[in-house]
Amino acid sequence: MTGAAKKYIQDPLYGMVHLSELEMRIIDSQAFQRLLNVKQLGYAYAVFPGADYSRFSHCVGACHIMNRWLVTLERNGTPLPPAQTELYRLAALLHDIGHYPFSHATERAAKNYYASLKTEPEIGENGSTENGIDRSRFLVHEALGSRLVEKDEELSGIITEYALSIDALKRVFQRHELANYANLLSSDVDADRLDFIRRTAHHTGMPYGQIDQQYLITELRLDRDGNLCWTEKALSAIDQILIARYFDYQQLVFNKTVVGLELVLERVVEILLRRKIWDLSVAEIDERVRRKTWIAEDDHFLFEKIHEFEVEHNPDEAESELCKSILSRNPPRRVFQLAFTDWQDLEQRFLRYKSMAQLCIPAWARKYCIDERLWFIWHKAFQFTDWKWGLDVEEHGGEEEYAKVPRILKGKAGASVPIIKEPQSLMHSLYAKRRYDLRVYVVIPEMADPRKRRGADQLRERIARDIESQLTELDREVIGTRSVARFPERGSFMPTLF
Amino acid sequence: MNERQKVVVATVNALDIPLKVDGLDDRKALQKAVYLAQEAGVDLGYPYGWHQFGPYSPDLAGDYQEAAYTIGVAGEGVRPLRKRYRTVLSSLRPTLEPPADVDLSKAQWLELLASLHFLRKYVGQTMKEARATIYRQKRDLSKYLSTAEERLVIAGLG
Repeated sequence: MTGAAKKYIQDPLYGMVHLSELEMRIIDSQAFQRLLNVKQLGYAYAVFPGADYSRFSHCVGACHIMNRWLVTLERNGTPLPPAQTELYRLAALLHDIGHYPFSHATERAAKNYYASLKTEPEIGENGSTENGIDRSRFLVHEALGSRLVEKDEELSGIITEYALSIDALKRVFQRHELANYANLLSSDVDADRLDFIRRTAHHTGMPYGQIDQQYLITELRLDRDGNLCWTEKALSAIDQILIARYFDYQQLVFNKTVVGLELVLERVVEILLRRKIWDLSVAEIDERVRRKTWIAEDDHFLFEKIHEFEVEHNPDEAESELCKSILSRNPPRRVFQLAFTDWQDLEQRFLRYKSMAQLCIPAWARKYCIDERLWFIWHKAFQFTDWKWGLDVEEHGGEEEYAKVPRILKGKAGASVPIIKEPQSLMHSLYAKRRYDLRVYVVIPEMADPRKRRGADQLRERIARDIESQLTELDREVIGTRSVARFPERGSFMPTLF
Repeated sequence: MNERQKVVVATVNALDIPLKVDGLDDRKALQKAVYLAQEAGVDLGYPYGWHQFGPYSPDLAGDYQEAAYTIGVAGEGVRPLRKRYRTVLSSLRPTLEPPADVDLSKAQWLELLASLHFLRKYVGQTMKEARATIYRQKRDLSKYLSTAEERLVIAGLG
């Protein structure tokens, strides 16, 4: 084993979290300590001051949840093989080790930037390669985490010291295992979600994290085919966590100001990458891991980079406004919102609507004399479960996301069914529904100046009125929604959910 | 479409894989083709895990869905890939076609190729273990394992 429980960390949700000697060594590593300064909720703390807990605390919490599940499986007579037990605990502890500063905003920007390097016109022979190294390769955080486990000298040294296989850990990390236990780490109800939903509620004071964690832990089983599942007693608890997640996202993650700030941050990161002020290619990160400078790249680091760009690299006017928006918390203003729930099969029309709305930006930019780069369109088709395709589950049965839907153990036969096929479950009614959201944001520079605020407000209202009529008409043509949320009147009408 | 989605479109175009998402086989072909393209050297950055039909990327699923639904909106086009990636995909393309003596659909053939490769490279199975896994989980495909092995070797993926 990897050392009996040697240390405890006091956690606000779980009290004393017991950690093995190996886990404490991992936590003490510089790569893990970096997570103290990478916030779980990105820039949300600018709107919800309590939303500033770290990925560090979340990872420790996820490890704790994983351990409780593993104990449950053992108690119920279906333990994981001993070699797997520690690997799954470690994978839970390390699951966020590869997150970039400001996590998702940075990752979205980098995905698009490095993809664009694969299609830009070639300059000479090399393009995005130097000395044969492909500098257009970028790793999403799960893959980076897996790479760090191997490439970070301190981390890999600790793991091998305890006679664990790094390759085996990477396989668990990246769902390269054949066993069904992978859902403990990544699925609709996994250690990650069980922790962050409660942790977010605790830190922000919002009520959406009241989940029945006890049942979700103690009622876990393996069915006769080796699928993870829960007893029928936990059916409501599963419905509850999926609903809680929906409200958590709607009220916090998708809060209009949080979204606005994250959109601006994403654009600023893309500017830093294009201007080569920051490089997140695999080759570069490998080098910074080797030199041990990667461990300093946390949320503070990114803010410093933005400040450095603003002061030393001659940003143009629009770029400067974007930087100020982040550094001085002058979020972009929402000037249009469309929000409704409907069936999954509307998604195609919704996405086409979004694309057509995006094509309006150049005209808006000219009309209101606000640079195109200061306009943003945000869209989301929120799903209650990971199940993505089609209303007819039988027709689309076997689709991969189906495997991540929580399963309910049925009777004494030992078989389980996905919760979306369980008639008494809320998810049975909701799985094919989506919450569709589309918003238009614009950075209005004058908003930051109190002397110009009144004029800026009037401009905002004018933009909102003009855009609303244009996009509402487009909505009728392309989507044909039955009801449209109106902005910006107070007491706005919102369609009923179901 | 964002840049990443455009690259997916350019890649599947270069591989002659239709950008269709309506049926399970359409999506299976997209998934496995992009997987093999990445393994051949056109790394689009999609992480894959093992699922029921072999290697699968939920991230990619979201991107090709949006790309399929929005391509051609108001004439939005897709730039071709850089020459060196086109060269790689051009070499890979013949491998993606089921040989004449293989009685599998293209989606099934791609599932077999991608699964065999993934089991060997990422799950760390020996050839014997990989064969046993495919026999157990994909019996209808296992008859053509030897042919799939040969084709992967010829494509430089063996």
